[in-house]
Amino acid sequence: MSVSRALSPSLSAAVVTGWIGGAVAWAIASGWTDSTTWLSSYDRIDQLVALTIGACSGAGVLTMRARHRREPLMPALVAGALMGGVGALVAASLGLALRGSMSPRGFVLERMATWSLMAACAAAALSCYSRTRHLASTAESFALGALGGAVAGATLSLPGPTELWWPVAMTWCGAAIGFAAVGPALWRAPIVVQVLPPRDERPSMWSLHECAIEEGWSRGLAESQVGCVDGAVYVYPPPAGAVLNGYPLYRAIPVTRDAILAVGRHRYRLTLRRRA
Amino acid sequence: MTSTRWILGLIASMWLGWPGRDVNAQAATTGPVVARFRLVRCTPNRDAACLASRLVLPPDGMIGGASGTSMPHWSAQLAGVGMIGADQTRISGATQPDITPVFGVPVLKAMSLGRTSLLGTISLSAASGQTLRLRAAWRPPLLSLPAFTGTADSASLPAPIRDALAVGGDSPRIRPLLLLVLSATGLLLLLYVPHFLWEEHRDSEEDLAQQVAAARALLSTQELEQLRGVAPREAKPRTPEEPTHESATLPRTRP
Repeated sequence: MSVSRALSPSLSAAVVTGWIGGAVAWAIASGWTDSTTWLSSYDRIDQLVALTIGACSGAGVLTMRARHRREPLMPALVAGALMGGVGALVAASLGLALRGSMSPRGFVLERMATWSLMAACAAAALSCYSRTRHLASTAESFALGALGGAVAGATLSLPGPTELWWPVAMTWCGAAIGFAAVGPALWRAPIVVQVLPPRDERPSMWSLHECAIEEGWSRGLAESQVGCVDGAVYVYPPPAGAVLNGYPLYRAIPVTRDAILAVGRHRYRLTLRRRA
Repeated sequence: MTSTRWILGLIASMWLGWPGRDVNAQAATTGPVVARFRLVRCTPNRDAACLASRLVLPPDGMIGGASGTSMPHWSAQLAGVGMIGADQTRISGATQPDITPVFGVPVLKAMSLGRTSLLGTISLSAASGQTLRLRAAWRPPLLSLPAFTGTADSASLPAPIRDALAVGGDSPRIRPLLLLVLSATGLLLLLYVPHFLWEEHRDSEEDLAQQVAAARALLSTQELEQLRGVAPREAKPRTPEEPTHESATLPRTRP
């Protein structure tokens, strides 16, 4: 059985959306330059920044994923903002509670740890927004988010103009959250189905129509269906038949390699992500 | 909003490093650690809140017997930070005053304070020769840049301090520029990532012809039967053991 290793378009879209979420968070947080009554301490500033990064990145990532799956957008937007924001806030608060070092080295390590924990918790929380939850997938999201957050924390402490490193760190953190939240579910799914656009057209970030099908689930494609049963991927054609890789199809068959399925006027690309 | 300004004579030395050496080890024999710094934005020619700097009182009384006297020493510039005063609060029952050094910084210079923690010593000296040394330690926010606690008019500062802070002219605003750059970058990513990173599906001529032929085969079978008006052929009824009942089980459906 051939397995595709190509990067899924949904994954790159999640990275870009997370990056934009980080940029929006920086645009908001960079306006907090004066300590007012509601920003009474540096800890409050940090908590608010964490909430903003998690909310903006999470809302963007889940909304874009819902768009790609052709699911309702508003629930995804609200869920992304809440889950990403709360996850990041809780993690940052924990990191702030554990700090204590005054030495420059210790401070940098604490900063990296806080950024890492914040990104990891936000990514893990966002990855749970799914009908199927796997512990391994969530743990992988946590680990990838932690790695990206640590890089962001180190970036903020680089020598040179900190005011320029700060947006770099926040955008990188947002991109890492997007990658970690969406990636494991994509590359662990048995098959990814993409609705191909009409010929001579290229899908855009918004018009992309792609979704992963998990083990034990099926998805309707026009009048046909594609499903995963016991690790194998099956195509169920409609009574009028379908065309699979150029051959007429009248009965359900297992899919063993990447294929193009044509049903009526619709075409779908079936990409196997992992072996059965 | 104005108040009487008292510029105290302070000598401060701060160290910055990434990673930097631990100055705490050197200043271990000095007094208590001061960990609260006020960062005040210094802008030229601005009417703003002034700093209230009062005379620092050592534990045993007044410095030189003077009270409210301005003793302009200078403030060292380290990483663009200049100490321009100190807030002092004597807490009832406390043996030492609560001292909060006040640093004035130009707007852009303040951003560099967010890189790492600051360690050093603060020496408070008076004309009488009395000296009070304090260890200084301060941490910026972990996820953000340090915020200001007020704004001071740099024109009201003594010339040496103002020169040390290098405050002059209007500070360039970098935030709008960064917003523009990030917006343009985001737009480019949205437009060109699909163009350069996503695989474009193209059928070869042979594949296309094969798909068309297969699709026509599907249609012709049904349409021809209808057009000819021929009733479907009758066949023997199927039994449960026939292969049509052996198709794969349809799993749960996701709408």
